[in-house]
Parts: sequence; structure tokens; C-alpha cells
Amino acid sequence: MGCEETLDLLPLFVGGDLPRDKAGSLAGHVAGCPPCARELILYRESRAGLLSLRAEEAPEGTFGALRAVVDRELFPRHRPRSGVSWPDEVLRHAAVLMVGLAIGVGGYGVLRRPSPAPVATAERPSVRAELVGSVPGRAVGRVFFPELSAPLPPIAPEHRFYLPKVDVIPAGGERDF
Amino acid sequence: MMRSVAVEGRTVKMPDAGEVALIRKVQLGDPDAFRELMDKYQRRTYWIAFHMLNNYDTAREISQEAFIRVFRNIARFDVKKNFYTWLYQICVNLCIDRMRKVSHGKTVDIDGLGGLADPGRKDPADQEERAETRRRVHQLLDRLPPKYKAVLTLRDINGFSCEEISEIVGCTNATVRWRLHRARRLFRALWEGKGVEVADDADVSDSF
Repeated sequence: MGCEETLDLLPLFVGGDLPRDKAGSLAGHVAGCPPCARELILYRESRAGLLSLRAEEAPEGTFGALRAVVDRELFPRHRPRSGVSWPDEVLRHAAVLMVGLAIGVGGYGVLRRPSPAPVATAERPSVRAELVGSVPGRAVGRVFFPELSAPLPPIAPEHRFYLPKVDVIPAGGERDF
Repeated sequence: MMRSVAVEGRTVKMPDAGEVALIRKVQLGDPDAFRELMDKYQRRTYWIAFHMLNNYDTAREISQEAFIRVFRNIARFDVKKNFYTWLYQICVNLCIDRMRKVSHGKTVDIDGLGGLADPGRKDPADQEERAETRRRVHQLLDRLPPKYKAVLTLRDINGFSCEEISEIVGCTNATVRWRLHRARRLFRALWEGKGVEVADDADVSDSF
């Protein structure tokens, strides 16, 4: 192999891209040819500069950010698995549902509770009967009753107050009193 | 894990059964399978883009775009072929498009290169020297035409074989070797500070 061919093949030789037979004959020529050997050294220096880029490091968080962007773009609603099994997921959703249900039922119960009816004297027939019977006016003592200004309706018999009948059943058989 | 197969005298890495199964899952729309593929290839994809574009943020954007395109087109991917060469082909094509849009001077990330110190070397002077070398290499690479730069970075920095590069850049093995030969000569001339005319000339396939 001559110098011209050697110089032409050096760019491939320096990167190990020559077939073995050609590389062998080129190496043989370079070993005995100082000008070609100098050329080989210069190629090796420039290639060493290229190889220095292999030692670079990416800024921190580069690959996490890369993956996050791709994830967000391709799977916007799909969360990656985080080691939680599907029964845990089901239980978690069920617990949330139960809490929501309890809050709903409790709130409904509070809202539906009947408020205490206002005490209206006029709607209490027994009291009314007593008042009517004793004080047929608008005032009872020093207390004013505006609802008594109108004439009261007649008291129905079933609203009248009676003492209940008491039937005494003696224990241990009938006994004369 | 790849297995190497000799095809027509060339050594080509072929996908194993596990990767084929993973790709089939992705083709059915499995997000977790796609994330697994990403975990496997995202670093290499990022570095290919970075060495071609010399900018961290742009390299990340290009990598993201490459993975998004892969997912959107994976239904058409033939699982008998190499997934990684397809992915890197998309990445390299995106890089070349970006390089053609942006002028060379604007892609040099001088500030970012300051943080490239090797953590294993504590000597600040040594770190500075290494950072300076890298900065200079990036500046010289930016002066190469995109097709030469692609072949040179894929072979010498990322360590792909000429057969793999021919799949990635979509040309014959002889064309890859021609471009590699030309790129190394150009880079050496630039390295020595020689004024060379760097033209994006036509490929010449010869006996390389």
C-alpha cells in the first residue's frame, strides 16, 4: 500500500471502519512511514476531541421532564401505576362514596326536622275554655291576649275537659268496697 | 436485549421476543408498555439529539416530539424491523429539519456547556479545559453540513455501527462510509484551524 492510498483511507482507519485486510496493510505501511504516521496522529487527536463529548451529563431532571411532557401529551387522563393494587383503589373509592353518602343523609335529616310549633294559647281549647270561663274579656290580670279580641268559636263537646273515669280492678280477685 | 444476526455479511441487531411483545402492547394502546419503551430508549434518543443540536432544551423538545410521533404511528410499525433504528431515524430527521431551519451560530449553547464538568475530576483547571474542548468541538460540528454531522455524531460519539447508521439515515452502507470519510476529513481540517470550504455536496458511493 502506498502513501496516497494510505492517506485516503486514514479517516476510516482511525475509527476502525476498514475491513481487516486493508486495515492490516495500512498499519504495516504507517509503521514504516513517518509522514503517514504523523497524519494518523492528527486524525487521532481530532477524533479524541469528538470522543470527549461522550462524557457529557444532562442537566438534572431532564429525563423526568421529558417523560412527563410526553405522558401529558399522549395520556392526559391516565395516571401511571404507583404500586397501588386495584382492590385498594376500589376500597378507596368506596370509602369516599360512603363518607359522601353519610354527609348527604345527615344534611337531609337536619333540614327535614320539624321546627317546634309556636305555642298559641288560642289553639289550646282547655286553656281557652278556662280563660273564657273565668275572664270574658281581653285581659287576664295584667296580661293582654290580643287573640281574645275576636269572639271565640263555641267549644265542641269533644274538646271539653273531663276527669277521666278510673276503673279500679282489684288484684287477686274481686273484692267489695 | 437485542440479538445480533448476520444478514448478507453484515451484523445487524434484531429485536428479541420481549421487545416485540412490548411493541405489540403499545400498538394496542397500552400506556404502561409505552412508558417502558421510553425508559429504555429516552437517554440514547436525547443524546443523539443533543450531539446534533448542541442545546439541552432543544434536544429535549426533539426527543419529546420523536416519542410522540412514534406512539401516534406505531400501529403502522412492522415488528419484524428494529424499533430503535426507526425511533432514531425519526429523531435524526427532526434534528436535520431543525438544523436547516436554524442558523448554525444560534444553536451553540455556550452557557449550557459551562455545566458539563466531569464530576469525577475535581481539579477546576482540568474541568475548565475539558469544558473548553467540548465547547470547541460543538462549534466545529456546527459548521458541518447536517448529513455529515449526523453520520459523524452517530458513529464517533454515539457508537452506532455503519450498518445501524444506514438504517437510521435511510441510505446504503457505502453512502454512510463515504459520508463518514468525508466528515472526518472535514472535521480534522476544522480542528487544525484550516480554512476549509464546507459544502453540502452530493454523495459519492465508491468502494468504501
